[in-house]
Amino acid sequence: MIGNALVHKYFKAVAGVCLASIPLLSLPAQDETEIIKKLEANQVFDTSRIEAKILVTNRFGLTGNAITSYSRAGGDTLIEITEGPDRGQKILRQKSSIYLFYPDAEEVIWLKGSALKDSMMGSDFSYEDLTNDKTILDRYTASLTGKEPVDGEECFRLTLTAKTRNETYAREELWVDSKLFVTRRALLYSASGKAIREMLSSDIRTVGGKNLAFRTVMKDLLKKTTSTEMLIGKAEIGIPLSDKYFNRDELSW
Amino acid sequence: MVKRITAAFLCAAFLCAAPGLSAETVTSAEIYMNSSALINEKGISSPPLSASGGVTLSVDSTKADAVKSSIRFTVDNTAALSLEKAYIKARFPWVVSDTSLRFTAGKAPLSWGKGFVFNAGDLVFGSVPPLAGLSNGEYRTAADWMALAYLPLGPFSFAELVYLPPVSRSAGGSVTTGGSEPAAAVSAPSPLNRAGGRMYLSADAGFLQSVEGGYLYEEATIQKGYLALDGSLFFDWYGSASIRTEQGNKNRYELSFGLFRVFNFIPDVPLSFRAEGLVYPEQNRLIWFPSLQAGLTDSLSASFQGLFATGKETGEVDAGGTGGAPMLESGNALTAIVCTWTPLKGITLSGTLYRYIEKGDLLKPDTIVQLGVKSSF
Repeated sequence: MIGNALVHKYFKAVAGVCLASIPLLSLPAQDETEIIKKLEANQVFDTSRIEAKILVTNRFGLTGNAITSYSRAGGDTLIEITEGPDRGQKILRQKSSIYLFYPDAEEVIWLKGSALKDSMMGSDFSYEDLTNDKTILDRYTASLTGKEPVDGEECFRLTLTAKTRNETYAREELWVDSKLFVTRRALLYSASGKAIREMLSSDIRTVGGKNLAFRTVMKDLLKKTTSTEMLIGKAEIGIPLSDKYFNRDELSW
Repeated sequence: MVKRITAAFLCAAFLCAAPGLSAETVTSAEIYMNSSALINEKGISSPPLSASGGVTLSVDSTKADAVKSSIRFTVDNTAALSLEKAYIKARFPWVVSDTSLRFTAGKAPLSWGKGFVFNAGDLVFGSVPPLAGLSNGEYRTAADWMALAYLPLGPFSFAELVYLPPVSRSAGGSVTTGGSEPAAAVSAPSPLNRAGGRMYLSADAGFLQSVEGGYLYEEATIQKGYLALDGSLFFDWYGSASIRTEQGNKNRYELSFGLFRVFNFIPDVPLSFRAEGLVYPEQNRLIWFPSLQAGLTDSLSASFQGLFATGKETGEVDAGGTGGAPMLESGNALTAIVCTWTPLKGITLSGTLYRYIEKGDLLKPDTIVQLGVKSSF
């Protein structure tokens, strides 16, 4: 599992809810609260459609899945796996519910309760991450610890400390681009204080007034040979999107 | 007359399906192999049919946004060919906004009722799938020849109308040991035209997620009805109940129910608990399915599963579907430890250890070990 704050953000990219920053790039960020609010403000938009590839590397080799996601304001999201071993499967978040469609059985399954903790597509993400609507500041105490460059870009360095033990990671460190308000790097720590996962984002492009990391790499620091890479191939934000994508009919088609 | 209807129906299905194959088409294949050994006080030996293998080929096609078709068949190690799926789906404008009226024709899966293994609400395929073993995979993926209309009533509610011609019925997706899913293991004639429908209503209330009910009419002699519910209240729960009436015979009732929950006692090692039961009240007969599955790593999982019967001594129970009900006698049990390892997506290695327990006799020495490999591409 990836840290909730980070997972939330990362998965939203997968789901088409996007990473991005606000368009008010000239406004200086003065404190951690303002930085995080600007970071999260980029996740608010009306609609999106994103095509991406997710490549998982482990010591046995590389596995890839291609997905297309449709999202609308409020967080409703449909993810369709279009290539790879899980091709044809679909995941729908509608309000706080998650539904899965398995084409082999032509069956829609409502994920509820503890089943939301299951891994999604064999990744480090759980279905629960899709439904987590709490903000970073709801769940973490943030502090600004300075400025550091990442990939030559000046970033705010933030430390997030979980407010409850329910969070997967007790502490997270974020390097947030000071101009684009995109997380360029993150380190996730276990309760014992050990860094166990690292995320690096690059190839940041502006789409529909939002800044998206088109390449994101997640590394498991405990398993040096394991990483997950997400490459966005096409992103559309603020496009007309029919409500049909967010009901059972489209899910089971 | 029946044969004429059937032939016309099949021709229509294939004629409709054929153009779809010329559109955007994706093919995939799966190769599987299983081998078993019997271990007892006499040593190690090969039980009958101890090894099997085969290849499953799938062709999925999408023509425009409104037509889809799918074909899947398996050729096993005896060169036997089994058609598991062959259907076309088409959708049309519908009166409920943002939904579409959908028609399906051909050999397609259909899932009525609620249940992972036992499902009394499955009037079409029966309460029990054609179990040939226990695995970490899906148990209910059967398909049959049908013409189906899907009518949305709202975002998550719908009605279905189905006609099933009396085509020789085979149950694709039979459960096999070792995690592979080879060709249909059960094929039974279905001499009756069948028709019916169901209505699915989304309650979306947490503790009660959905309510569904359905009816199936089998050519003037048999009528079946069911009601199924599911929800979540600490455990995810689900249940189905059905009644079968037949001229000249007493009514028969079936009830299935289940609980499911994932526990996370150890971080990153989810432990899935499931327990299901199937009750035949007139016969005082119950069949149980407990399962405990742990995701030890991202690629390795292990489970303990079992089937056991209580109640009436004799096990003569017609599941009402494909005839695959486990004929366990009361007090007997089939238990299995199943391990599956997926080092890469598309390659799964599995190992299963079976013990058949008679009347609680844990010392019965017969143990079956089965190894399997499956690769999809």
